[in-house]
Amino acid sequence: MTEIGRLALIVAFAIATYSAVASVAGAHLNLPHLRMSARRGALAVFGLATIASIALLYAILSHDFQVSYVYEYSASDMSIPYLVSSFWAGNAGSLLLWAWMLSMFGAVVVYQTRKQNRELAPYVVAVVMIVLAFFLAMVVFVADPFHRMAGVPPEGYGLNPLLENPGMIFHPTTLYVGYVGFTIPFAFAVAALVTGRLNSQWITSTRRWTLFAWLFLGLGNLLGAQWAYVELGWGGYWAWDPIENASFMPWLVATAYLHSVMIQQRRGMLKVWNISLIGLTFVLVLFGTFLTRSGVLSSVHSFGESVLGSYFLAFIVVTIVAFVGLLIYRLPRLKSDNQLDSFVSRESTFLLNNLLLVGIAFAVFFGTVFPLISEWVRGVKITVGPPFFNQVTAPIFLALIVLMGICPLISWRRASRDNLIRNFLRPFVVTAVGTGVFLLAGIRDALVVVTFAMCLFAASTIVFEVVRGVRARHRTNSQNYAAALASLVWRNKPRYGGYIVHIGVILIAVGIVASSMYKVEATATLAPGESMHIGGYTLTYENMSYFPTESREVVTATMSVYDDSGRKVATMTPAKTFHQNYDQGVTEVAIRSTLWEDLYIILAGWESDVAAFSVYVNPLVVWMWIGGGVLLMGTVIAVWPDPRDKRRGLRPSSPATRVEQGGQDEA
Amino acid sequence: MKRSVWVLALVLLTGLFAATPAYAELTVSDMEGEIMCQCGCSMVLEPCRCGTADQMRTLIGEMIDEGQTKQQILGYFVAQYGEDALSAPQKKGFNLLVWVLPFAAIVVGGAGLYFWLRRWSSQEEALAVEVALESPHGDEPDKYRKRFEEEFDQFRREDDSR
Repeated sequence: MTEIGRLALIVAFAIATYSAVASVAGAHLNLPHLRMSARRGALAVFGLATIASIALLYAILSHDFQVSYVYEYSASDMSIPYLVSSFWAGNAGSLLLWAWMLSMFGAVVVYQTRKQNRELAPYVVAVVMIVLAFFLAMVVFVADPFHRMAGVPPEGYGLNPLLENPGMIFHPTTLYVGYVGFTIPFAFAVAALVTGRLNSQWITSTRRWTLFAWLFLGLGNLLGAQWAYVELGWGGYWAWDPIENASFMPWLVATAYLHSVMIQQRRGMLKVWNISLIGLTFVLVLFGTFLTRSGVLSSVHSFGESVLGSYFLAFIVVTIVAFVGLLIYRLPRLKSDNQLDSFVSRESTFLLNNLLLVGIAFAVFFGTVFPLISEWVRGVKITVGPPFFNQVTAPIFLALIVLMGICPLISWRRASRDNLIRNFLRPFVVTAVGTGVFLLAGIRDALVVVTFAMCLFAASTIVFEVVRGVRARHRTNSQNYAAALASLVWRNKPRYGGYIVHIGVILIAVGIVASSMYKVEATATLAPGESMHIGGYTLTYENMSYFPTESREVVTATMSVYDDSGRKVATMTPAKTFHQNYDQGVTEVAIRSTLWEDLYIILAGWESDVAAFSVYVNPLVVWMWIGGGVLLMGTVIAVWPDPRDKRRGLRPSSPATRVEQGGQDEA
Repeated sequence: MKRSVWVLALVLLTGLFAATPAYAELTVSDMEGEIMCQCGCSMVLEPCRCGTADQMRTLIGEMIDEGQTKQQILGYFVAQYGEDALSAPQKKGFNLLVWVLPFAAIVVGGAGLYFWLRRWSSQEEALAVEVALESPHGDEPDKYRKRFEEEFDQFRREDDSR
């Protein structure tokens, strides 16, 4: 079976290379048969990559330990879900997953472009096939997932116990969907540059792809944070680790892109900027992959040192050079169709938003690579860790939240004074009253008060905006309020979906600020029957139990949790497990979540019957995960197909694009 | 109405600053976010639960009891383990670069954006005069342009009324 897999990969690599060349040649020499053959090649690559993936999965599930990848990352006592997840636990398998996903997206693009975007399609297919050929080359020539050892080990090494968490199933996969997904808008941007069809067509055609990739990258990060929170046992969720940063940066730049393309779609401006942003997003995706696989920077995420790094670096350099070259070549044709009407307008706030988002991405990038710079320049190793990133990005994020509140209040093109005052007054009053409440509630830290106030401001502008719309509908269409709300959102899904996403982001921000600023921590060493107090809870250590399972030994401590009034609210059992193949014990945190706060107990150690505990009370953490759900919901609404789109052609968000796109070949 | 809002804001701000806590004594938890654990886990000391981390915390506690300042304690760890013992570089010398450059980039970008917007919006005024004299879009039928303006105005009215 593995031989079939390996053969499939080799053939897939050859066909992907062929398809890339044939697609470009077919478009250039105007040979429809060659173009068609390239498109079929792309479908064949998807089929072959699928066969290879099934082969690896089969090897893992059938415990074929002679395959070194199977030996290194799985064992026969693992449950099916974790066996499946060991597919992407190592370098080779995760590269195969990348390639398989990209081949699938490529096939979807081939399907989508069978009638639309005929001019762009050959180059889109070519770019996807070039990227795919690179990843296939990696699994064929450098990191072979099907490599067989001489001997047959009786048992596999198994998954690192830290990875045995549902997070291992969802976090890498969602993140990869996001990473890989950005290849498609990037490919369209390249195609637009090559063909010179530089209006908004490539943007409207990839709007869903971009939002899809952006959503998954965001959720992937959030799932990673959640996993770190429940598994790593240090009470936190985000450590500004280089690899975390690497997946955060493309998300930030893509967020900037999602906003600035609206200006191009409405006003035909910022063409160079938008193309640059999507190019940068894709390069940052590659950079993240490079960091994970090169071992240049130490991280909990890295796969360990490997030669893959240099190939990725070369690929990044080639991508940048080719992309920038194309961009410069097309600069004369990337003139704006319009001018800015007014200094104070929605356009300006979007540009400011872009400045801040790219600014944060730059700060994160610079902080991440600065240890390398320091070592080159001064020969001194330094650490750039959480205090740096928190201090530098917090004020910029705060400014972004303020902007998030201001932006919907300012109209497109030109904001009048009356319009500004009318729109600002009510949110401003709500914010002032809310700030008073925060202060009365005993929140005295200036940063927290300001952040909460700004979150409230941003949320209230959205609520007022929606209320205004609902009331207008209620009046004019005499619908009841619920129906009015539903039809308001339904009739302008991108806009209200966007607002819902903003609410999600605000909830996440509140969760982050509250939990990092008001975290309470206590440690205690207790004998059975003894108690400790933390943040209104009394925890009584009852007993310790020990039980071995087939592959590990588990030590659990039982704690009774009482609230202020002495009522027992929970029994919690923090634990530590020792896997037979790994020396270090794995902490199994016990968490009791409420909407208000999390009680987070770590079993730190024990001696005879005395046990040591670290306990945290993390306020409002749960709102980060709820915010993630809201973000998901908002994005789904924003991308939900609108039957009116079909009638209108693609998605011209304004009459401006409708005029611009008039007469083009879109069905 | 507006005035009362300002008064309220002022009162709240005064309350805010009056409530800021006075200078508190140095504790171990003030320090452990700024120092890296030295067990090889590449984690900040604060969340680390290993034996090395516990020893380091004890050491910091002793140094605080001896009356050492924050800078002295950080200096000790730098001398002992090198600059990478600090969880973030100190804001001086070459390392100042990493602290300043992101903000400098945003300021420069912001200034660029400001002048660019100014130039654009003033060009638009000049263009408006030009449009009044003769349509620069000779090849674009006037009716499309007119329709666009009408629809856009209507769109804006809807936009504002919502």
